Amino acid sequence: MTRVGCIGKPSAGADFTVLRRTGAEPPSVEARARDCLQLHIEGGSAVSAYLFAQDGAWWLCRAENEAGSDAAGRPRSRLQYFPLAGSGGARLGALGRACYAPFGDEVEVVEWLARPATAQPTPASRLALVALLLGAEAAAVPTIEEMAAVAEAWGEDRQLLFMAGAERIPWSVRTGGSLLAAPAANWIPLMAVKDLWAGLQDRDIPDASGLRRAGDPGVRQRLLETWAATRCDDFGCWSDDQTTWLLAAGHRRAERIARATPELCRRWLREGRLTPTEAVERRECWNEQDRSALLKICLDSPNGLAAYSGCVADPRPEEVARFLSGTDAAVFAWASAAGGDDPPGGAALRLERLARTGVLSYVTPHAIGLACAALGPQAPMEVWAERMMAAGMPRGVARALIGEPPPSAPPGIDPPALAGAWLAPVPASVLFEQGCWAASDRRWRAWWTDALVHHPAGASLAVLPGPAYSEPAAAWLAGSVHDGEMPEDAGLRVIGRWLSAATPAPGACAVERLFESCCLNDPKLWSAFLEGDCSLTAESPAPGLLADLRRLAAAGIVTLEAVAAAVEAGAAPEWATPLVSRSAAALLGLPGWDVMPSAGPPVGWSNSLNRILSVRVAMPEFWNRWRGAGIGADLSEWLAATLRGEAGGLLAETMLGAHRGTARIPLENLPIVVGAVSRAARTEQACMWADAPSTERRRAFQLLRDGSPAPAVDWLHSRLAFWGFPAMPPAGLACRELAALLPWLDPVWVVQIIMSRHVREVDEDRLLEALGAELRRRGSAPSPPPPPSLAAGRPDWIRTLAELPGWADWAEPQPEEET
Amino acid sequence: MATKKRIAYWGLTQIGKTALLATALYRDSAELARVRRNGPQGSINQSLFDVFLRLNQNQWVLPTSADWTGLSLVTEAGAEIEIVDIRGGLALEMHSPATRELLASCDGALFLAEYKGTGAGAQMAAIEAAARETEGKVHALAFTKCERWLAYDDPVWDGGNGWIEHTPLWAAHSETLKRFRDAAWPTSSFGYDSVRALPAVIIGEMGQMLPFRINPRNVAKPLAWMLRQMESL
Repeated sequence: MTRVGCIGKPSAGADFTVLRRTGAEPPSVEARARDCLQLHIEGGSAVSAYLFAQDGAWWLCRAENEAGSDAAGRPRSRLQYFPLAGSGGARLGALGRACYAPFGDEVEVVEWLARPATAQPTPASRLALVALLLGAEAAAVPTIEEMAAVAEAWGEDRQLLFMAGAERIPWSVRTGGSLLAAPAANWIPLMAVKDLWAGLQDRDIPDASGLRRAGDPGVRQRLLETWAATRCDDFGCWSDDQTTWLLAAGHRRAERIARATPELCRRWLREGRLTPTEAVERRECWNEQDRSALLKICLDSPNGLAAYSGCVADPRPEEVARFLSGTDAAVFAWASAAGGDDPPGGAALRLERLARTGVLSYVTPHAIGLACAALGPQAPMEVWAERMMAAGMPRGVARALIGEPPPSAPPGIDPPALAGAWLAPVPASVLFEQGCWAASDRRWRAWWTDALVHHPAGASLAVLPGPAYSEPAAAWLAGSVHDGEMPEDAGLRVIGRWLSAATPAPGACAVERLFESCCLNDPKLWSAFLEGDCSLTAESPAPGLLADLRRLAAAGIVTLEAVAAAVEAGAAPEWATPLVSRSAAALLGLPGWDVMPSAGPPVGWSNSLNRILSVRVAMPEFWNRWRGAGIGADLSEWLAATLRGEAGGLLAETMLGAHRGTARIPLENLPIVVGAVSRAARTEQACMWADAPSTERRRAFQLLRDGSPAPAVDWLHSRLAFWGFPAMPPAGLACRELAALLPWLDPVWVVQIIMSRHVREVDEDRLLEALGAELRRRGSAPSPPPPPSLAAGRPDWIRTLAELPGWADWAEPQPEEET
Repeated sequence: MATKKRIAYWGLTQIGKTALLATALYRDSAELARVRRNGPQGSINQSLFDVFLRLNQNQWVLPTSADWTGLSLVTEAGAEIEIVDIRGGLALEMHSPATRELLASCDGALFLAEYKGTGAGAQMAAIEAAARETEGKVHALAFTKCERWLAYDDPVWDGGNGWIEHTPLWAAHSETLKRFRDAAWPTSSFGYDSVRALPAVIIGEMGQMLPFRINPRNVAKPLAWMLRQMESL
């Protein structure tokens, strides 16, 4: 039970005072109750009821006249009140009841709320609502139900004072709105109110509560006139609240939405004023904070998901799941969670169904990939492919990844930027094979290599370029070199590594393509050469081919042995030019004979070159380079040692013997090597040929004389070939020549010649020994001793010759001859 | 723009405060002829005008239940002044903070007392308490219902300054009345019948006095004086 308060006059001469309190009312409620009693006094009826809100609570009042009068002779009256809860309709029902049902000292509030008033909009209620909106202090309607209709439209955030039972509108009603329910109330609305009401044609005012908040009564009037189309609508003149009400009223709604600021649109969205279609129209306005509001309006729409995705660029899986139901939602949640748990029953089939509805486009490729991987062989790869295509993957690529024939060429578009484990259900081998077509385009090659790296089974895939040849790797190599991502020579090194691998070996065509990708000048030649299908030409190679060979050799693809074998088989030795050191090339006369080799053994010699050297030593041009001075001893010895056992070894041995003066060069070899025979050695060779048959001797002497001056050979030739007194030997013969010619010379003459020379030669010891033996053998008459100045230069000669029989004088000191 | 001034309209219940205010404002009088009675929104005070209509229709004045009612006036000089018509019962509630606060918000007080009414002591006590609460502010005193005790030609009606001190009727309260030496007036909302020179009342069936062909007397002087004082502040 609730205690009822009362205000009245305790005696005829007393003023109104609180006779009884509810115990719950604050002072402000007492003041409002006194106001209501004043309204009752002015209202002119015996009983009236009031309903007002104060400090958050509703209070129901009942005022009535009492018997008797006060000291001034006026009727006495009192007012009772108590707090009231309940809905708006229930409170107004209690208000109507209070006009005829008196209060006791205590009341059962629930009983008072038992008969709510049902709102019944009528022309009278709409007229009253218009009046209140236009700032009328009070308005009247005939019934409580119409009052409920007005109250419902007005809204409760700023409560009216409700009166019932008064005969007329009291003068003391305050600005802010009082609503009177009395059939006989003498209420005459202002003409402006009636005009506007007529213009509205008795339509229900939409969102009257929003209109009330949109501005003062003047603004409300303009808004209502605009809505009623009795006033020109200027879009720019309305505030946000006013525009919001016009939107709610449906007045030029689409245009108003299109012109609204993003902030206002967001407000409308939060307040649920926009339809999903309208939200899509202004999708540029939404941000992260608007997602929940967008979701809210779209969830109730038949095509809400499409609208939501139109508003939000990236609907989240958990948001999309709210548009689904039952098993669909469970499977979708499982798939969007990247298949974390055990798949729900029938997940594969359900995924196919979801795919047909397009909802899987909201699951990331990463999650779809993992979900399909989790389903294993039952994975709906068609679904996976469709999702990848939705993510931007070209159809041909997506189909190839699920095992269909690959595209003939890379798509002409950029690969989609997919991340994560979207490739999880694709077998690693299938992915690797895609390199055959993908590698020829820079973009798709990068896509492919990235996919290999991020594939779950990436560890099992060969790291490009891989240790062995494969078609995808070859395609990758060709593309990388073509696009400049890999230097051509680096590509050749990779090819060299593949070719040296045990298995599998690429075929000739594949090698040719690889060489072609690395920009060799004649890929076909080199692939055939490596296959053994052809050899190198006997003609001197073009510079481009030599450049190829140099690059191939640097990459380890073509070896010196192979080239040497080719040269041995008939190829031009110039093929080897790029493969040998400069010193060796000079010795071999590569690329031409115009380069003088070093006197000593070549630097950087490879035994693989021996075969080429054997070929070269058989050529006169090889030896002619030493014409004049002859080949050096070191080089001659090196040649003999190097070519020992080779085809040219005999020739080298012969040359070494000739150089040492121990062997006669065969006649057939003499035209080849004579250019490298020194003058002294030629003299020795001529002496060796002296006892040969005349025909051979003439031929040998002719060959020995060719090319360079050989006075000793000429002299010996004249001695041996012609009758008559021999001429004097030529002057200036070296000791080695004198030693060789000694059988045809006077030994005493030779002694005198040597002793007359002021410069010693290295071979004088050998000559002295030969002279001593010859002098003993011949018993020649001794020569007179040389003067002391000459003898002093060769004391060993003096001692040795003095020991010869008859040569004792040479031991005696000789007086210096007078000049 | 000048600050709005407030005048407390102060007296016990049922002494004719509302009737005096209604007759002062809405009966043509030279003193208040140029005072605009329009409120901020341009409407006359309907409630007070209704009181005046009832008096002219020989009906009793409606009692006041609300604690106070504001009445806005604008003087000829443009001063905006609000008459705070305070419910009579509050005059006995000086202990209430709300009452003291209401008084403190006013710049002057026009006290009212029923001439020779019952409970004169209580009236004077209430006036004295309120006067002390508003010490230093403009004070004035109007006696109501004087037609009941004064003859039409009683010299009191013509009394000059200080008349109140020579009225034996109020000798017991001379200390309080000294406050109003130059600002005290006898008034009558009902007045006298213009023919018979008798109070313009009739006796109702229950013995109560009802207005009858009212002819208010001296009703505008207290308010006109207070308005002038407020203008000069």
